[in-house]
Amino acid sequence: MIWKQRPIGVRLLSPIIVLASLASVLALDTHAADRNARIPRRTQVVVTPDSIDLHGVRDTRQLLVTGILTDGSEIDLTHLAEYSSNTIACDVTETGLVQVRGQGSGALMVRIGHRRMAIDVNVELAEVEQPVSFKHEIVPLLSLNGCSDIRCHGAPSGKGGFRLSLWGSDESFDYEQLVRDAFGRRTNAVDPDNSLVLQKPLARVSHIGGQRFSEESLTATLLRTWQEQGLVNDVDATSVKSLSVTPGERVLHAPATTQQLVVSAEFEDGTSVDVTQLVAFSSSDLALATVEAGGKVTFSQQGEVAILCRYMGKMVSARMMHIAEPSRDYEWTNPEPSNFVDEHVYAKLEQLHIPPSVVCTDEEFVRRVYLDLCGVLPTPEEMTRFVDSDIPNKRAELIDALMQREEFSDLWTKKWMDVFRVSRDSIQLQGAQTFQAWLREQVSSDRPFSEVVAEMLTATGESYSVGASNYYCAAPMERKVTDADYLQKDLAESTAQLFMGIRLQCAQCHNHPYERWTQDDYLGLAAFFSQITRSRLGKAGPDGRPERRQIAVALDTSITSLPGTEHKQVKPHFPGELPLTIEDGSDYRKVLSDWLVTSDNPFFAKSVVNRIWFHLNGRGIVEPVDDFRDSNPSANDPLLSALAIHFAENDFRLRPLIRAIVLSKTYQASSLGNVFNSSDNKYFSHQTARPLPAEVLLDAICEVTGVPEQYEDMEEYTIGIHKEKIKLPLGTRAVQLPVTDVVTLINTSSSYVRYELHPFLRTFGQPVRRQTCECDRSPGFSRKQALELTVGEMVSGKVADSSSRIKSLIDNGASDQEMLFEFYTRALSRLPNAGASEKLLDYISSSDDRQKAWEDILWTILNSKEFIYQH
Amino acid sequence: MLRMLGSERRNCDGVSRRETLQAGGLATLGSLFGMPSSMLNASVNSDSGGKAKSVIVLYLLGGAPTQDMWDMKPDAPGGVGGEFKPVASNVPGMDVCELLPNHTNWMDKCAVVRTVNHKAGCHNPMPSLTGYPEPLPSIGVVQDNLPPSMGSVCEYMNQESDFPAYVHMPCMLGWGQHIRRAGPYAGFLGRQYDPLFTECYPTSEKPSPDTYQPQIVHGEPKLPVAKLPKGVTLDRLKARRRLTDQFDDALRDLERGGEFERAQKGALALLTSNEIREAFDLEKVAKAKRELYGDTLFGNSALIGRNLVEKGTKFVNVTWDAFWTRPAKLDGAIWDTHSRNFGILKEVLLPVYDHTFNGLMTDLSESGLLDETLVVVMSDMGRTPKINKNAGRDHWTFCYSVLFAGAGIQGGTLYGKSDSQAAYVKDKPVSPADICATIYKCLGIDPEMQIPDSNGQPVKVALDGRPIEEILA
Repeated sequence: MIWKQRPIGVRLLSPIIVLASLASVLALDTHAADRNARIPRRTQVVVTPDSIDLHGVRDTRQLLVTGILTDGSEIDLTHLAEYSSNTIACDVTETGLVQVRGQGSGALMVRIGHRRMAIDVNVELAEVEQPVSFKHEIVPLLSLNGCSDIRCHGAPSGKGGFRLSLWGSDESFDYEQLVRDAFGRRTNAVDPDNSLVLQKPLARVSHIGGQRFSEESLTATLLRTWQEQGLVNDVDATSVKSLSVTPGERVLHAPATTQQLVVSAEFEDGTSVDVTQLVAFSSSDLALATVEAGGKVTFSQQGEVAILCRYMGKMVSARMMHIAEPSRDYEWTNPEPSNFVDEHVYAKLEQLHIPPSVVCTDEEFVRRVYLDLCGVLPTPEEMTRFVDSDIPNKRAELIDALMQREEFSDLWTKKWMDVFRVSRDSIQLQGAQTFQAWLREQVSSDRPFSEVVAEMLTATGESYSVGASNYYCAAPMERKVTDADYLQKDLAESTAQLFMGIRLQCAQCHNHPYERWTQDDYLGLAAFFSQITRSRLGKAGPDGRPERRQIAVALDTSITSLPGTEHKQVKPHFPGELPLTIEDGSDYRKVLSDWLVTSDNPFFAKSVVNRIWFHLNGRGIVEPVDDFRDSNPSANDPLLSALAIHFAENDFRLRPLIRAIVLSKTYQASSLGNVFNSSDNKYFSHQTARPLPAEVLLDAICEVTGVPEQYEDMEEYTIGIHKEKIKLPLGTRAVQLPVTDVVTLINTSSSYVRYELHPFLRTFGQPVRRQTCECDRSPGFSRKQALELTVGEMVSGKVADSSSRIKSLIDNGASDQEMLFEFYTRALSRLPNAGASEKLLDYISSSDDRQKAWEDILWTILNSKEFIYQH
Repeated sequence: MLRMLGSERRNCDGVSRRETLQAGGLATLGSLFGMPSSMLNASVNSDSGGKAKSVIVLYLLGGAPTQDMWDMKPDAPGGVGGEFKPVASNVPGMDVCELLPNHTNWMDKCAVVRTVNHKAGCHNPMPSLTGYPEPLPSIGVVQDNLPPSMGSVCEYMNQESDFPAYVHMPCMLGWGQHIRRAGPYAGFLGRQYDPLFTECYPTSEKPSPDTYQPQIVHGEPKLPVAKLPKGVTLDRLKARRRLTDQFDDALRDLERGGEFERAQKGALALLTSNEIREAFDLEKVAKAKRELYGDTLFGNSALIGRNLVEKGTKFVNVTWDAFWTRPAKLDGAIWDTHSRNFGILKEVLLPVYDHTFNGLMTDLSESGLLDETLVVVMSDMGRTPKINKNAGRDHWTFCYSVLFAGAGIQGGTLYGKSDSQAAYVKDKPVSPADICATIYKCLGIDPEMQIPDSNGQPVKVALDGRPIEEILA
């Protein structure tokens, strides 16, 4: 149809085209000069493809013109080249898109500056009417134009009574919806222009989604033709086997800001087609770069993005990076790397023209490393001894010493408990304590983390006696009997998130739009947990529910696929891999664990090192830490790989990993930015000042004031029956608490009992531990937190307490000078500045009440950003 | 300034560093979403069409049976229609329940949207307060990676002033049941934009014998810090603050200092600002005015809300919250009338609510504040058309009404049609996000304004909501 219309159009239009091109020649003169100025000299130019065979009237080919500079780097010239065609068989647009105009062969001319290149072109089958493919063209175009997006007709309930499958994942469904549903009003083979599928998106009639494409667009044209041709249903046509994108990665040095992409699809039947015009492109970070339909990427500022290319349910991504012109006084500072961590971080920073901050002072380091490794402040003695020491490798020695301390085990055990959902609600206090003791033993012996994970994944037994079994016990209990595979799905999601760094949640309902995970991957992973059964132990309580809620995990190897009616046939398979054959009677979890915790597993090591890096640097190399996907590029791929290799080479032990990170100058960088890096919050050019975690902050307040917090706790509780509060030993630190819902028993006569978090800890973001992500502690510092510190009992009460450090120092006859030294070194790990020292001592001496004046000073220190923040 | 995607840190000239750096990116975004780039830096409320400076939301927690209030179906079969009769209001065709006698005088200032619906589950305040349409794993767990409430967006845009832009009364949502209900928080915007929650220690004349015999709850919302710690006077606190300036905080000038300073200033303003204290000081309010609002916790909250609006608060949430496990059994049913729907409506809910609504409208109208204040009455959901065996109505999210009044609203307007039983939408469905977009538009905030989510990706404040133009003046 189209080919019949086009020659007429061309004839009619040809005089105008001549005029237009004359006019544009005038305009182009300056334009051309500008273009030529942007083409680097001494550039070798490569045009791909070097010859073109086109089949059928709608076949297109996107040219790529690439310059290769003398240093080997490549630059996209596609949009700087000028194109012409010596044959009426095809023409080339300004952007290098070759389109069929008729039958025949000839050559296309590509001009770059003074260079010219010819490309042979041959067009066949141009005069044969080619049916529009519903599967290969219409469905992808509806996706490309956003029609089948989750926010529009792809929503589970559709929009405006019209539903499409999400991103065109189900062509048969879409065909039914378009052709048969709504009394067939959506399509019209007799009069396509009266069909809703054209009227609505062209905004000829009211459409909530507005105008989606223009009358002349490829989409409108093909929708029209497809209807005219009689709404051919070809959902059985060949499917895509794989997609590839060229270039797969590219660095764009200023002034270059654009890059043309070419996507080709290889079909199951062996054919390969340029589908660039049909691909739905999207950018992982719109603030950095955008991508147009047709595949042109344009950067607006320096940075890295992944460009996702989606076609017929397949996805491929291209990594693009743009480096802006450095500012005039920029100079790479050439810092000496301290180890492989710095080598990779500095390589990236140099590439991006971001010099790192200087290494922090001894005072900053000692505070930072005590807080990060052990969650405690250094004592004045420890701080002074370190700062005064002349030993050259004293930082390395301190790191090693700290990792041997009890507090190190407490803190790092807590970090895992936060994401293993250890709560009273899930596993009871006793389960939490058993799990905590077991985890703590693993951390303090630095057992290979691979073994720790393997033991948890293959655990069976009772929650109160087998610590590792609580990994399974902590998963929420099924809420509805209809959800037979609730547990298995939950474990698939949490295991993937915790130990693979991937979020499979979306794949529960549909193939993931922005990554490669499919629903099969999701259910296949869930099937590894199909042999697990859980039961509550203990006799029934007064209301019929079990009194003691200990949970037991058992294994039933006779089960061979997911339970429940819906997914009965699902067998285990590893995400992204082929289906497995597993011997009957084997423990599926062991199969999973054997695959997961190895050095050649693509997920395990990277996800763990990224999480550890996050704890030490305030931000993951991949961020969020558990969201690895093609559309979420890491800030530094080589760094991530090197850390993963280092981790694996050290038997997956956490201490060597932590040591390597903390020894680096990257970790030890000052949190103050320099003129070039202060706006960087992604590439680790400086440390990140951030509020202390709730527990560490409260412990620090207790330590500085000298007044420990009394935590209350309870043993077992019986539903509906109030038991006495039991106090934990005085001096228990918040970091050591086994559960976060710990303190107050609400004395209520209603039928169940609730617990409250510690109010101070809750205010500062102690997680409730219901999720397997690190997302529970939100960023920022709230007015409520400021209020708590300003007038809350925790600070004001402890400062004025009769057993406070102020009181005992005064009673022991300490001088004001000594006290100032004591509090500055204890809270801030440094001495006061001379000016501040003088003013604060003045305040004391001019006050009538020395005790009260010291309360005010200590209050001021505890309310400073320097105290509240890790920096 | 309407700002997007930047940090809150500002240079002396009022332009934030990151804002300047991102200008290029913003322009691109703007053109992508069809916005002229000049709009991105437009001032809110200048010429952007917002008629309201502030909004007071009367939030009827639990799911108000709006078919017994503003969308009555007297002709519906028994077991659906209910026990009450509609009466005429000052707008023909806008009948209201006979138990809302005061509403009859205000319908010419009101618009009722009768087709709100969502599928985000029961007792989930997220859709109504944020527009977020998805069910939560648990309504008692606040997730920080979810979209912010409308009030938090107002607070986010209130970069210049220490005065709270967003106040939630009478207490942290769910406090009286020992749960922290999701909904009113700042989500991924960051905690510094959470609401100022007031505190309260309410009472009732006698304890509630059981859940479905709720009492009228009395009390006043208080500033959370009305009480200074033992031994600390306001003077001493101020002296401590001055001492802070003498102190050599090494991080004072750090780039990321914005959030900390802002929070501290905000906290100090709460402690020292006379304006805020005055707004909460009901002692000084004439007895007649207090009676106008009704001497209930709900009435007092609305009265304080009105005072706050007068002094510059942009978003006030007055919630009818439950008090059951704390401080005592007062009102456990709230608007969640699974049993004795008509009894509770008649004894407690409708008279108290009608009284307060009338008081608020009268006072706003007489003081001229109604010209710049939007009043919205809404719920987390609606209730079943079918009356159950306990004369109650159960949870229903498929069709319910929201009432708008005051600034920016075309009074006397009905929008959308429910079916003959008020069970499903018959015409013009409205999502909670659309309600949010309408509120944003009234406030002069572009519903399509972009904010960064927890992955730094731009998200529209009203998500995919669109303002209901037909009810706007």
